[in-house]
Amino acid sequence: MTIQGHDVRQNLHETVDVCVVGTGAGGAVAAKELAQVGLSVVMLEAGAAHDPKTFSRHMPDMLLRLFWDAGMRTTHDGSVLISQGLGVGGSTVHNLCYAVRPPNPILENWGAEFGIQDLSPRDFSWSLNRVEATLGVKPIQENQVNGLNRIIRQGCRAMGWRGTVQKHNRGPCPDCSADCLLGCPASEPGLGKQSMAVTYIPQALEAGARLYTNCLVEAINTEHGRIVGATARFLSENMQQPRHTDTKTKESREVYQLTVHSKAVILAAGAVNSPQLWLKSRLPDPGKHAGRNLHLHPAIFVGGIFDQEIDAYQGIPQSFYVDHFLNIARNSDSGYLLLPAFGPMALVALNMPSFGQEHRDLMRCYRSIAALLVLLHDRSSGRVALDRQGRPVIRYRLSRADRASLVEGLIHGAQLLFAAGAREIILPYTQRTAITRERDLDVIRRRGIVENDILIASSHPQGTLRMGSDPRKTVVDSFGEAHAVKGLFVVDASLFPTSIGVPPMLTVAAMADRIARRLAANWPP
Amino acid sequence: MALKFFNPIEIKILNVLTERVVGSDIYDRWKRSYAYKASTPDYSPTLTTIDRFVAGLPLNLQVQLRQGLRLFQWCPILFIGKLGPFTHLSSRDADTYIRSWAQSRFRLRRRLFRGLRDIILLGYYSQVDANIDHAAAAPRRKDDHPGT
Repeated sequence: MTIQGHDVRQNLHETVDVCVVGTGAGGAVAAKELAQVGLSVVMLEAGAAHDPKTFSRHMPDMLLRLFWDAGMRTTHDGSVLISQGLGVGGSTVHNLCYAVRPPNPILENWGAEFGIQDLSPRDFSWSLNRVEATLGVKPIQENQVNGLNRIIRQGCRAMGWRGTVQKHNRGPCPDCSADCLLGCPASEPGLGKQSMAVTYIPQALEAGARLYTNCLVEAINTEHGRIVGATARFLSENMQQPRHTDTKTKESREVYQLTVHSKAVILAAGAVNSPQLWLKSRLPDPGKHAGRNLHLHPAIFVGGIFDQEIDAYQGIPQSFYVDHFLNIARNSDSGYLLLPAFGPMALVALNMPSFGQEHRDLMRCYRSIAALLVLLHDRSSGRVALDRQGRPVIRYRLSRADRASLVEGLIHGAQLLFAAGAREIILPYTQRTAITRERDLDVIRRRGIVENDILIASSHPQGTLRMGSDPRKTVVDSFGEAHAVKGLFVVDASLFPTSIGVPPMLTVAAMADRIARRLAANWPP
Repeated sequence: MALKFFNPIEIKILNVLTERVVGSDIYDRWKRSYAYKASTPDYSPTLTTIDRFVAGLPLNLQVQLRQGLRLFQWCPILFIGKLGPFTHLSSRDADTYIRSWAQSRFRLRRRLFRGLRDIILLGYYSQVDANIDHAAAAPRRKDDHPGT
C-alpha cells in the first residue's frame, strides 16, 4: 500500500517491526527481503512515486523531479556537483544501469583491514547472485553497443588498453537514448530500466510493506541505546522541504507528522542524507566517525570532436568501459575508470568550456562529439556536517595525489579519443583550450585541476557511516548495525569503508540483501 | 506566462547575460518569431524555463542566486573600471566583464560565473528551438518541452 504524503491531512502513527528510511538501491532491497519473511515494514521516502510514463526530455523539469536540490547539490565551496536521486527508487531511476560487481581485492581488503566478517568474494556472491536475478542483470549484447561506446572501444583497442562491455539491469527498450539520465519512460517490470521502483519496491508492497512518499524523516528516535522509531514530516507535492504555505494554492497548510514506532530502523538515505539524519538525531557514535570518510568518485569530462557524426545520444549510453588504469589487485586505493559519457544537449552544454560564440560553435558539433568521464577511485576523503538549520554541509578537497591521477586520466582520455580519430579535444575548463595534436596534451599538466575552473561531478558519494569491527574507527559493525545503537542498521553506500572504485549500485543492493537476511535470521535485533 | 521568481531588474540582467552566454541574438529572434506574437512579450522561453527551474530550487540556493545577480550587476566599476551597471555595458564591455569573472583568481567569482552560466545554458538548451538550431535529431517524446 502506498500513501502519498502530500494528500495526508492529519498526524499519523505507525507501529511496525521495521522502518526503512529511503527507497533506493539499499532501502528497497532491505524492505522487500524483510517484508517477505513476514515482518511488518514501513518505507519512508522524501520524494514522490514517479510514473515513468510522465518522464520527459525537458531537463530542468526532470532535475526538479528526480534529484535532491534539483541536481544543484554541491560541496561547500561549489567545486564538486553531487547528483543524488530523490523519489521512489532513488538514484536507480536516473543511473545508467551499469551492474558491476565489486572488485574482489576491495572485498578482501575490507575484510582484512576493517575486520568485516563473512564478506569474502565467495560469501558475498550469494547476495550478488540474488540481486542480479531480481534486477534482471545480463550482459549487454554486441548489437546494443552504440556509436559512442564503439568509438571508445576502438580507441581503447588502438591504445592496447584493457576494457570490457559490461552487464546491465535493463530489459528491451524501444527508445533508448542519452535521455536515460532523466529517467526511463519505458521502465516497467521486464522492460526498459529495471530500477528499484519497478523491481524491489512492487515486490515489497506485494509482501505487505507500506510506503509513505513525500515524507521527510526528521529524527531517528532512541531510548537507552535502543531504537524506538522515527519521526517524519509530510511534504507538499512539488516541494522537497516542508513549508507552511503551499506555493501553488497560496493556502496556509499545517505541517503533519508521521510517528513510527519500530524495533529496527534501516537507514538507506544515501551517503549524504544518512549521516545528516544521524547527526541531526544526535545518535551516539563513540569514535566520532559519523559523516567522516566521505568519498565521491569525482568525475571529469573530456570530449573529442570527430569528422563523422557519431550521434552519441542514441542507444544505450554506457555499455563499455576502460578499466586498464584501475589495477586494484596491485594498488587497492587508487586508479580510475574511463567511462563513455554523453547526455541531452543541455547536459553536454554544461560540460563545454567557454561561453558566447565559442561555446555555440562547439555545440554545433553536438552530433560529432564523443566524450568520456574520468571516474576517480579517490583516496581523498571529506566530511558531511550540519549547518545551523540542520542541512548537510559537504566538505571535500582533492588530495595532491588524486589531482595528479585526474590529470593523468584526462591525458589518457584525450589520447584514447585521438586514437579513435578525434580531430580536436574538448576539456571542461571555463576557458577553451583547443587541443588538436597529441603533443599539446601537456597543457593539461600545466593547467592542472583548479576548483571552480573545471567542472567536477559526483554521482557516487560513499563511506560516511563506515562499516568495520572496531567501534573506535567505524560507525557500524560487519552486518550494518550501529556499534552504539541496538536496532539501527545502515544499508546504503555510507557503509563502504573505502572508495569502491566501480559503479556501486549492485554492491549497495547486495550489501542490503546480506544485512536484511541476517537481520531476519536473528530477529528481533 | 507570468514569472514566479525573478523581478524586473533580474529579468533585465538575465536577458543580457543570456545573449552573451549563449552567443546569439536569441531575444531579438524571439521577438521576430511567430510564437512571440501569441506570448507575453517580455519573457523568452529560455527565461521562462530558468524562472520555473529556479522557483523549484531550495531556498538557500535561491537566496545565493539573487545575491549573485545583484553583485554581478553592480561590479563593472570594480573589475573593468566602467561606470554603471552590467545591463548598461556595450556588448564588447559586457564580454570583457563576464570574462573577468570566468578567469578570476578568486574562487568565489569563478563559482558565481559558473553557476549563472550553467543555469542559462540549462534553460537555453532545454528549448526546442535550440535543439533544432543545432540540428540534433534526437528522438523526441510527445510531452516534451512544457516550458515552451
